[in-house]
Amino acid sequence: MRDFTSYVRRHLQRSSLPDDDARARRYDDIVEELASELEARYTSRLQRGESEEDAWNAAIAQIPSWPALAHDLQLAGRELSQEDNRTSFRRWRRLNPFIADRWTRDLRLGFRVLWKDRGFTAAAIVTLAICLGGHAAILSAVNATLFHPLRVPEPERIFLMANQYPRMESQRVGLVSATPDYEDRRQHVAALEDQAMYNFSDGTIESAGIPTRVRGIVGTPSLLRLLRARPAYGRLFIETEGIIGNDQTIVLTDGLWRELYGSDPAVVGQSLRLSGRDLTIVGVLEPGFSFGGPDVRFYIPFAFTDRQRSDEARHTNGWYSIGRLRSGATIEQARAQLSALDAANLDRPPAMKPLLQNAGYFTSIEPLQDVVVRDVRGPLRLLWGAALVVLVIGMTNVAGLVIARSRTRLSELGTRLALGASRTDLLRQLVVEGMIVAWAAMCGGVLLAYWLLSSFRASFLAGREAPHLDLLTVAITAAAAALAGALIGSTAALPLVTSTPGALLQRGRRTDTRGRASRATRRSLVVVQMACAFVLLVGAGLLWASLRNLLAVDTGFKVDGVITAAMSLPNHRYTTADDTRGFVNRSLETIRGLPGVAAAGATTIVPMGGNYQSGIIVAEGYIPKPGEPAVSSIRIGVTPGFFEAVGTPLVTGRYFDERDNDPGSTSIIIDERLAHRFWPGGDPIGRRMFRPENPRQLLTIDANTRWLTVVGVVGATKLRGPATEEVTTGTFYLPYAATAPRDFGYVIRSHAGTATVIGELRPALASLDREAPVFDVRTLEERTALSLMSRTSTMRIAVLFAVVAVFLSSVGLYGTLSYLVAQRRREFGVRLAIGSTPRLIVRLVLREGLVLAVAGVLIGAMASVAIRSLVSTQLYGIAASDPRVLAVTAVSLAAVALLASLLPAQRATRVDVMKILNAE
Amino acid sequence: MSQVPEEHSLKKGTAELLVLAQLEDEARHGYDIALRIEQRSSGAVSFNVASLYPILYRLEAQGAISGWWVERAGQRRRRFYKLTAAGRKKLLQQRQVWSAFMAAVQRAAGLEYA
Repeated sequence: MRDFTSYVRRHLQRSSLPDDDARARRYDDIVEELASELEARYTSRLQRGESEEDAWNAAIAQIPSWPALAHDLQLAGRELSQEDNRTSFRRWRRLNPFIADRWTRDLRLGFRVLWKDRGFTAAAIVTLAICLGGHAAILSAVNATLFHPLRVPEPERIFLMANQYPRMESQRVGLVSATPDYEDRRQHVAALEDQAMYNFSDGTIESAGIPTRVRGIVGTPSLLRLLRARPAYGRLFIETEGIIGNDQTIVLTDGLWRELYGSDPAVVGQSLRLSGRDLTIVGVLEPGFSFGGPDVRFYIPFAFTDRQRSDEARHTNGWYSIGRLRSGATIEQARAQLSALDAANLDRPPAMKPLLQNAGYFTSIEPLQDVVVRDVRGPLRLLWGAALVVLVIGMTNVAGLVIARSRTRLSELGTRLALGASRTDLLRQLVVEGMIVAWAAMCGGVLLAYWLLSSFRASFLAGREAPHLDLLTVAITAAAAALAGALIGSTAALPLVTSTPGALLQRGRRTDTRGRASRATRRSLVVVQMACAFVLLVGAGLLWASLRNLLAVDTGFKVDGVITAAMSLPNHRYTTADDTRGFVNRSLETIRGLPGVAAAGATTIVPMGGNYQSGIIVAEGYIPKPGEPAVSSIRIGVTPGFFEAVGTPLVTGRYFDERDNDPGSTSIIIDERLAHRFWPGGDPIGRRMFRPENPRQLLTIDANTRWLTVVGVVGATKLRGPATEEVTTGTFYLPYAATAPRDFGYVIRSHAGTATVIGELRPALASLDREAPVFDVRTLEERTALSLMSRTSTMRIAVLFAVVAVFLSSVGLYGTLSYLVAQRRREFGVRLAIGSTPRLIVRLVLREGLVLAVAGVLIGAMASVAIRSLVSTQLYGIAASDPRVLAVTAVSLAAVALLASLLPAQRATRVDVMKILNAE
Repeated sequence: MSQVPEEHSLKKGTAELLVLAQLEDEARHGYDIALRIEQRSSGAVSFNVASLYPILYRLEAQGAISGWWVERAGQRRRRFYKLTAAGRKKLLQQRQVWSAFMAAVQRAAGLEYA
């Protein structure tokens, strides 16, 4: 008998076997078993009559390569030790996601798999990129505009104070204060460490020989300090520059400095001519500083006149009053100090007391940030919501794609699992695939967002800092993309975790009927998508209907063929009202002489410009009810020709005429609403009214009272644009000549096309005075559109989102139906074989699609009604749950759904009956 | 880390299935297993000691089979193996996988029907 034990021992070294295997059998055991195996074969050959030599050779041929055997044993042992020794370094390394070689291999494989399945990959990436991009663009706008509206340090500590008269109808939300309030609040509101008062101020600067209008801010010297602005060159204002005579200074923004002086640091100390005043440049602000919007290019000091400091100026509100909260102080403290101040000032001057009490006067204080974003908050939130909904639709769409794809994927995964790949390997592979898609989608999304922002920023957020794609948005987009990637990966991997390899292979088979769960999932995904799309479509429809309503609003103007322009006369050359009147009369004559001009007038307020002034007006003999606040209406000064130019209809009496060019004219024209207020049912013509210049005059009528006589009643107008809230007490018109301010506007009606008149307007006015540049020349139609621009762009973006949503959800429906049809091919084959007609099959599939769509529409309708309060503030003349909009949306969505179902339905009829039946 | 190549894992998977199947109804020693595979496959599949033994080693390490030494008079002692509960489950799974896989291959390759 040969000695197999020593033979094996000789060839299999102890050191070549796994040594780190706690449970591995001892070397001796292995040797013994191998020897026994060899010997069994040797013995059986001997028994069959072979020679000892042959039997020996055959036995030892069983192990042709000892090193290979040792290697195999090592492999087996290693596998064992991995599963056994959970804390070992090897296991850690296996699971550690940062091991480069493993990941590069997974990535390579991932790219290969995705490339092989290009249709899926492209669909998933494009869908996600569109949704992520749209969301990122809106998020950037939200982040810049809503979350960081003030680009100054510690913006949350800056508060706006304003005088409020809640019971006076025209003054619903005041934003402004009067000049005497500044000193008062500085002395008495200790919770604020610094305060400032400012307003916007346009000026004319000669740039490269051309006079141009530039927007700036006139503010108390404290303003820039309060805003924590820092000069790049020179200095900020000092307190003494707030005294008349010392205020001939200017601080430039970085932008204006670059434009005018080509970044020359030596400008400090130089002189700059602004609207005819020579100002000394004392400083240039750091780049990146911005306050009051991107248009603001310079700051000049605000020096109060004696009148502005006096009690007479109280409640002539026209200035923004802000303060920075002292550290450690609270807004409640500031509010308490303000109301104490209000109480103390109630009788300054004494005559004001009943008036202020009746008006419900108080001083409000709120974060400046909130005030700044007030008008865009609603639309931006709405659009953000829409973007999120689209994102959800996109994700569900991709999830649907993944489920459809996992059908084919399951077989592959099952096979690989069966053939020895570990679940972690496969899981990791799927996650890597998801991440590749997510990464590509993120890149696409960021690019799309960048493009969207650069094309929409101009229109949507006019007058605000343009939103840029910020880091936070990119980070959130990346996170959302990663989430989507994980979702894709885990959706694909779910069956791996819950099923055995055999079941996977079974489920992967197309003819199998056990995919019920995934079919239900896909159906509910489609319903969710349809519901989301419905909500967005309803929202977009409502916004569209609102805009249509607004465009149809009668503003009281005939906008066709009307040109408007603004003018600001330099105050050093037009020092008296006579100077201004003279220029206005001359310029109107010139304009009326232009070919194509039918009528022209000047006005203190250009219609649809968003601005308005208001003032208290009293009718002779009108006795207010006890506690009734004074009537405050919109006040405009207009020249003869104004009404003819803008087309405001005359109800009774007359328009202003030549007589009213006399500064002593006592004519007043009121609109229907005001007429109704004071003389309901009566004729106002010839009745007397007066405008108190201070509160004392309001209460005491005497020989000094300057009576105005109503000469005409005109139709009501919406001076600020169709979307603005009605000022219920109406409007009164005074002759422009009475006050003749240097800033005014022209309104010109043309019957020969607006373009020719616009072309002639500038040179004609320049010929009168080249230092008086006309600016902001627009047709009234343009102004109306501008006043609605934020709504228009909100609507457009909402429609865009809705279209994307409808498209994605119909693609989702199409995909789902295709999937269901593919799964039920056998059933359709059988149906056809037993006498069903293609028409019935089509109907079957269409019904399936329609059922899903209708379910989505119903849920969407409920959701729309539930969230109607979110959208209602953005609507005009339409209820948020308007049945017509709901119905139209429902019908059109159902139609789209039917269309999306048509193709899969037809495909269902094209099954080869014989083939299907044979396969049974 | 070594990655088991596809062919290897195919062979590995097949081999495990074959070995497990031989132990389904009774305990056997290595040579017996090899012989039965060869006989039942009419000689198409055969394992030598070098290929069979690591499989047994691994399956035992996985807990799919358990082995024990049997001594008989006049014979060298032999190591017998039987299926554990886990091994029986594994066998069932692998059978399902393989029948589904083979069916798929047959369909895909047009072997089953034209």
